[in-house]
Amino acid sequence: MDALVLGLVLGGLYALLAQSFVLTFITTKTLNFAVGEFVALGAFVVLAVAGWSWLPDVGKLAVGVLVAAVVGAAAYRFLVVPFMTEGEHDVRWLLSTVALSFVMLNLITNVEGPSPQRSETARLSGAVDVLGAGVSKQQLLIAVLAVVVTVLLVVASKKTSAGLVMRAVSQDPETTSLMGVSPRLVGMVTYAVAMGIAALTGTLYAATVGASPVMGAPLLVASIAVAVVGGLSSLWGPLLGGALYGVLSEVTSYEFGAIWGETAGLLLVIVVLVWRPQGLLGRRTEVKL
Amino acid sequence: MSLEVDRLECGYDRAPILHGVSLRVGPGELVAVVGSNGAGKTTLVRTIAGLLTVRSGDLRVDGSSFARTSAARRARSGIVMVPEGRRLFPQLTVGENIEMGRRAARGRTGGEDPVAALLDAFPILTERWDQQANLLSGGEQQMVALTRAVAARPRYLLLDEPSLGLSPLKTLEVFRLIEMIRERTGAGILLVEQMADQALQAADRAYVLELGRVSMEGPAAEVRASDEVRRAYLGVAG
Ligand SMILES: Nc1ncnc2c1ncn2[C@@H]1O[C@H](COP(=O)(O)OP(=O)(O)O)[C@@H](O)[C@H]1O
Ligand SMILES: [Mg+2]
Repeated sequence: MDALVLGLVLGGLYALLAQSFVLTFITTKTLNFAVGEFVALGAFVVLAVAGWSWLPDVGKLAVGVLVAAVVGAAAYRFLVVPFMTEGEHDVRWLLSTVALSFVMLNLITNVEGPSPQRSETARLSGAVDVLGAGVSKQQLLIAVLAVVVTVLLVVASKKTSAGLVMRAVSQDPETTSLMGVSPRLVGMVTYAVAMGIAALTGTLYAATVGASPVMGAPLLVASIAVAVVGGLSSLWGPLLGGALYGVLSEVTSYEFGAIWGETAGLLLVIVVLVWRPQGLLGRRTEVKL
Repeated sequence: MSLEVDRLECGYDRAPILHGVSLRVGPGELVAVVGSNGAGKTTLVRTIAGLLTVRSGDLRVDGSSFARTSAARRARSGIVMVPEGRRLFPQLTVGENIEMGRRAARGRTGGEDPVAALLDAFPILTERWDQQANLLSGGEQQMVALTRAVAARPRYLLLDEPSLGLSPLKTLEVFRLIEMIRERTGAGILLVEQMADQALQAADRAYVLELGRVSMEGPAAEVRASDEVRRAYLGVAG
């Protein structure tokens, strides 16, 4: 039971970050492999403004999110767009975002040093009892936020005109441009939102483990796994994928030891990929005329 | 006042397709471009719409060049294309597809809503409003594609084979809709068709495109009456 609750909570963390992958995949069919470094970037920006006592914590979070959003939009414009010009089989963006990941990692390490720094912004201390399991309030906050962010995104995609444009671009970017909407602009906005979410995740996570240049790396593998299991083209996917992945890996490590936890999670990915390559909630891409 | 294509050359990677095509569409004018499969008709309209780059020559509207602007900007300025195969957003509803068309008309509102008249004349559109676009028949899809284009408030409308894959009866209906769009919106229409007869009957003027060159142009009735066109495109034995 404990492992189940802890698994769900952990899955929430992965799900929140997985939303960054899903968002960019839906509108641009690309993934930013530097997401882990945007996690760190957000955490360090918030750390840098932590001393601004006139600004409430929400404001500090917003600064971190905004900076990551701007860098994210620029990354799409200058490191993704130029490397996806040759059609669907052009995946040079994969290399350029991995390169960005290394560059950001080195830059952040040069400026901040390698060791974790304590982050107090938006930090809840203590634990609460959830169905008999002791859960840290901070982790619970992250999991709740994953649900809130997901619901907001789903509602926005169904009910707002920006959401309509997002769905249109995901189905047919070329025709979207014939409707007077630039798919490239939509991509930049999506990257901004997605990297903002990564930065938000980073700040909240840094409150538990400290801010460090490599803090995003362990989250990256798990959140890609979660995004793939749930389906890269589904906004609900991360919650389902996160719950399955989190519970499976927690229960497995509880029963068989820690090293088996992550292995079980990755086995889940393989099983899903074989059985449903588009993910549990994903849509097969339509063949169009 | 017109849409002008001036000695246009364009194509794909290494293959040049259009070799200096010139044509003109005036406001409210219906101009047909006919030509056999592979003549370059689709290449022509996609280039005017901004989906392919101009290699040489120019595109102008009311005298000013738009050859270097993006497809999205062209659409917002009222140069609107209905692509070959209709290209509705398959998982959006009819209403959402038409709503997407309105995006191109942002900032050019005022006057009566051009879509309302079409919805009155073709109640099927309203009946299907909440249906997913890929569940419609070909004829219905073409009606939605045309209505979506009208929602974009076109000044010039480019239609790439609107009758493709439709039964003769549906084709008639689509042509009736095109005629109505011309009356209601006053847009200049460039109609590209392989099924030449219907297009030439509806059009004011016409161009014949052969292997990327204009081989004949003139009033549609004259083009339709010429021996070459009768033999090559209208299936009349020579
Ligand atoms: N994407 C493409 N890449 C390379 N060549 C193409 C492409 N699309 C069309 N073509 C070639 O361009 C020529 C004109 O095609 P198109 O403009 O589609 O003709 P039409 O619409 O008149 O049938 C044809 O020879 C065709 O093979
Ligand atoms: Mg064609």
